[in-house]
Formats: sequence, C-alpha cells, structure tokens
Amino acid sequence: MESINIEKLIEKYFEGNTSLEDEANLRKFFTTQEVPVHLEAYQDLFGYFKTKRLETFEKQVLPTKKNVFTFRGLSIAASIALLIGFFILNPFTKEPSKEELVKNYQTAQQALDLISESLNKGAFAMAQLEEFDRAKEMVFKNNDK
Amino acid sequence: MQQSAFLHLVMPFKDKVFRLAKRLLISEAEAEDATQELILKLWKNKDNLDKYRNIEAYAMTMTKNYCFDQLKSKRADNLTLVHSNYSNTDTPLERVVELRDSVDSVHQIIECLTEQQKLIIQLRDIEEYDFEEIAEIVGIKPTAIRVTLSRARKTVREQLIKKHQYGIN
Repeated sequence: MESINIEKLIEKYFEGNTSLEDEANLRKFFTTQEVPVHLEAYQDLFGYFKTKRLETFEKQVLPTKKNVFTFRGLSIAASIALLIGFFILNPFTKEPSKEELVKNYQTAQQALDLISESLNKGAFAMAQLEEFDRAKEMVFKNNDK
Repeated sequence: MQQSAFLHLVMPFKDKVFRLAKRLLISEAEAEDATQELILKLWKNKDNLDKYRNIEAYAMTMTKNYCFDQLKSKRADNLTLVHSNYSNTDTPLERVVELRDSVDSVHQIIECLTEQQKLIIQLRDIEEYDFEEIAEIVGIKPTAIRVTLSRARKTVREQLIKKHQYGIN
C-alpha cells in the first residue's frame, strides 16, 4: 500500500472515522512489512493490538459435576458424623438411680448363677464321660493282648 | 439447557470477556476470577438467555458492569495496586525481547487512559466490534463512542510519539 494512502488512513483512524475494514488494512500494513521510519511509532501500536487479541482464557469455564458431588458427599458425611456423635455423647440421658443399679446388679448375678449352674451340670457329665473312657480303654487294651 | 449446549454458547466469547476484564482490572488473577464469576452468572441465568437478542453483547455489558463495580469497591477500600504481568505470546525469542519494550510502552500508555477510554479502545481496536455493537455494550450513542475513541487514540499517539522522540524505545 502506498505510504501516502496509509498516512491518510492514519489521520482518519485518529479521528475515529475508519471502518473496521480500514483498520484491518492498517494492522496488516504495520505488522507484515517494512514500515517507513517516520511511521515506526504506529508499528508498536498496531502490533500491540494484534498480539492482545491472541490472549485466551485457559481456566475451567464451569465447576465440574465431580466437584459438586464431592462437596455434597462431604456434607452428608459430616451430618451423619454429627448425628452419631450426638447420640453417643447425648447429654440428655439421665443417670440411673441407686435402686435401679441394685436391681441391675441382682439380675446380673442371677444370670451368672444360672450360667454357672448349667456349667457345673456339664462338668459333672464330663466327669462321667471320663470314667467311661477309662473303662473303655481297659477293655480295648485287654482285647489287643 | 444442558451444560454442553451452554458451553457451546459461551465458548465463542469467553476470551473476549477475559481480555476485557484484564484490560479494566489489570491484574490477570482478578480477570480470571471475573471471567469465572461472569460465566457462572450466565449459567445460573441459563433458562432466560433466549430472551437476549445478542448474548455476546449482553455478556460484555455484564463484564463491563462487574469490572466497574470491582474497581469502585477497590477504590473505596483505598487500595492501589501496580501490576506488570503482561504475558508474551508465542513470538520467537529475539523478537520478543525487542518487541517487549515497545509493546509494554503501548500497554502502559493505554493503562493511563480513563476507564471509559480503555473500554472503548479494547472493544474497537482489539475486539473489532462495530460501533452499533459497542453502543449496545457500553450503553451510549455511536456518535459519542466515536468521539471518545478518537480522543483516546489521539492521547495514545501523543504519548507514543513523545516516547519515540526521547529514544526510550
């Protein structure tokens, strides 16, 4: 493009009267070829515009569904933990009275007595079984001989 | 609206939103936050998006408003931050070194413009919107945009020529 033409276009540009097409021509002129010395100042300007248009936004545009899910999962887990903690450390359960403690103690003892009784029964039966075993061995020993 | 359909709708202009936010907020991190914030706003409003004739212009308007609000609240907190995180694009190294100074000086000059001027320079000279679209985004008449644009460009030229003459480049 002729330098005189360009100069006219530059004047128009600074008046704000250039069309988008004119401006594209200016950018092309200043970024693709040797520029006359007296116009060098404008080279920076149009070069700058051109490079700035190339910048891109590289970050994630929307939060992924996964993130939303983990956040939700975390809140569910937290509320469950809170509930369990509440029941374990429930400050509203009342201390048992002395009578109740005695009664509990007695029932526990009764239960233990019952168990030991049946255990003894079993032990007696085992003793009988042992006796039988010994007798049997004597019999079989005699047979062997 | 499904996520994929939404992304399809948003993808074409997400970079423009980001670049505008970066132009106005200057910090790259803040611009990223603003972009994500904006897309999230659109996503929440996804069922009403059909009502807008031009979703891109609507998104750009929202970006502009969001950034101006951010700047206002920052100023209210009396914070001044100086940023200098211009990322360089993929140009061969020698050229990058040589270009960086000049590109940085243009960047700094534009940074000194008023917010409205920055906004309009960004929309016209970088994003290449026509005047009607810019008018829709900014909310002022095309003729007023032409005037602001001309004034902004002339300020940039003045500073640029000054720098050239002092041989800073």
